[in-house]
Amino acid sequence: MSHWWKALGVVLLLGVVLVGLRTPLSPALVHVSEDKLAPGPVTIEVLAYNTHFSAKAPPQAWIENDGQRVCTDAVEVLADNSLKLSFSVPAGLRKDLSHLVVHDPKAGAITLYDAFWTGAKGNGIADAPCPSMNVQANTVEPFRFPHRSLLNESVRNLFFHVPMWFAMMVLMTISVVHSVRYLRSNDLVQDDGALGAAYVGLLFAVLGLVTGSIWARVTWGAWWTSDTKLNGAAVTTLIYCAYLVLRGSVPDERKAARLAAVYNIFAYVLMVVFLMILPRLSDSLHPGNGGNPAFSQYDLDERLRLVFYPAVLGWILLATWAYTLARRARRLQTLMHHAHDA
Amino acid sequence: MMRPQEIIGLVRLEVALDLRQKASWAGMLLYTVSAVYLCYLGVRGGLPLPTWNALFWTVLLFAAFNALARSFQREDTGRQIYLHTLVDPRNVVLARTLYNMAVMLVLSLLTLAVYVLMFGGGVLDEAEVGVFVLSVVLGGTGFATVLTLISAIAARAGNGMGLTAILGFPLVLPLLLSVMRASKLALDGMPWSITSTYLLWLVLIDVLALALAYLLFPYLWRD
Amino acid sequence: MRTMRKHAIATFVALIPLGTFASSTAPSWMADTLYSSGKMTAVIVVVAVVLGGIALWMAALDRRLTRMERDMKHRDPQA
Repeated sequence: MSHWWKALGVVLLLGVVLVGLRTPLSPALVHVSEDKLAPGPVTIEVLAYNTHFSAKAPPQAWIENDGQRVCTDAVEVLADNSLKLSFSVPAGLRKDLSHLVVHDPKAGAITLYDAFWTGAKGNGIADAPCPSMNVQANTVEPFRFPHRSLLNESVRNLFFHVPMWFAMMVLMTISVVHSVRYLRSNDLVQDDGALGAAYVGLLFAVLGLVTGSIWARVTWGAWWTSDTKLNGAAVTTLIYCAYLVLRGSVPDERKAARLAAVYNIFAYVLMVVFLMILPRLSDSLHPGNGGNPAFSQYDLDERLRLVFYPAVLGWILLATWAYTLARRARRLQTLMHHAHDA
Repeated sequence: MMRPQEIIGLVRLEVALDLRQKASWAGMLLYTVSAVYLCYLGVRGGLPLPTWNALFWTVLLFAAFNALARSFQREDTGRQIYLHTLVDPRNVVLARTLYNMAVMLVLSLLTLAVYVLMFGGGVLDEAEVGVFVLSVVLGGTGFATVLTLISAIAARAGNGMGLTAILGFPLVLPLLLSVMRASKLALDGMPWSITSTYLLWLVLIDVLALALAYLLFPYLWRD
Repeated sequence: MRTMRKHAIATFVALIPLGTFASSTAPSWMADTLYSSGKMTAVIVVVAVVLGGIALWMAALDRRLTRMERDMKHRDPQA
């Protein structure tokens, strides 16, 4: 039996842990003390994330409105990640939402979109380029994960929570294939495979639920909500618990295998239909959803994908290894039972 | 082989058997009326629309479990083998499912009638009544298609009522969510264009469950 | 009952800082991320050790199963 894929799975996962947890997030602007701008002088305190502002090389900042800039009168670096900016806001800004842009020599250009709201819309302002400064261009852009306002650091959970579901789906498919083969051949080895895959699949389903619940508490504020994906996850977990209950309630080995195989196939097909179709019918809190149950472009940045795909592969390989162990253990158990009786 | 006469004959057999055991019908009706009455006593006042809808579906769900769990309990092994020699087992499950769908049709409309009687039909004033009744009927028949095969599995495992509930509940839940949303939209007075998506999916799931039951039942029937 | 009340008061007092989230000032967790205090390394090491431990246990189980399968084959070639 070849073992290379097992080692590959473990190596991939260790790599994911290393890279996924160590890579810092991109610098970002998180908080502004004033968000409504009226014409006139104003002083704003800005809080940033993962920046290293220094008073020796202070950043440049401006308000951007429909392509026009309002430069700062003064920039004061309060700390590593906070600034005090003074503006004289002119009247006549064209759009009612403005962005705040901070250009730091180390962090590059950081934008907080739609940071300010100005009431009246005007015809535009006298636009002049802000006084230039020695901004060192970063020759090599460091590898950073994108910063998303609601998720912040918890985006790393992407490498653990989502692959659990992929692994579970793979395992459930293995289980149903074994069930079909069992019904055709009546070979108990197939049944061992079906049961082993169901056990490990259920484990991963529970892990997915727990990791998802923790993530939900941190980002959405609740341990559980009525959301299509969550309902689908709960239903799947319940189906496989029911499968195990069914097996347990029938004493005869072959009969249990047969009945369980029928239920497995019935439930799997219906489950696939539910999971694929029902999310399309309604909206959801899940990122990247609201129509499409699969992963959409919205949330998966290139850099995240670089770590995400190996994570999925690693978890699937680990899950498959666990399934082979469960199947072989069960096979040996039945064999030893028979050897005992013989 | 799917022979229509055989299926019709089997359905007729089911009807005859059920008519003979009037007690089971009476039990079903009594259960429904009692459940609705109990809920009514608990609630008393006017119910907001979502609660009205949710409570109705809960009562119908349990009435469905009650009615459908018995469908394979009736015969003992001897009669089963006899039946097996006479007809193709696939026709048996098809006939039983069709019969159960008819039973659920009657039961769901009856439950709706009792419910409206006790809780008042004020909720229905602004509703698309036709679409609502259609969603109730489709929901009921949906329960029947899924739960018939489940009750067959449970009957073969030897533990009818309890196991039907355990095995059936996770499969019925998404069905229930879909039909509850459709019926709530109908009660809100939403046009057909919106509710039709949900109801069409229900029909699809019914057909799928029927097809699966047709394919899988023979494996249950052998011994 | 007295200790329970003390516990309740202590919990309430401990939760008061959470009220800072309610204001429009910046969140306080920003100041001490796991990175700046160097605790992230500890997290990574712990997770890596746990994963490694699970993998080693699975490998040991794998070896044990292979040995048992070989024994079974020896005893009963038809199984």
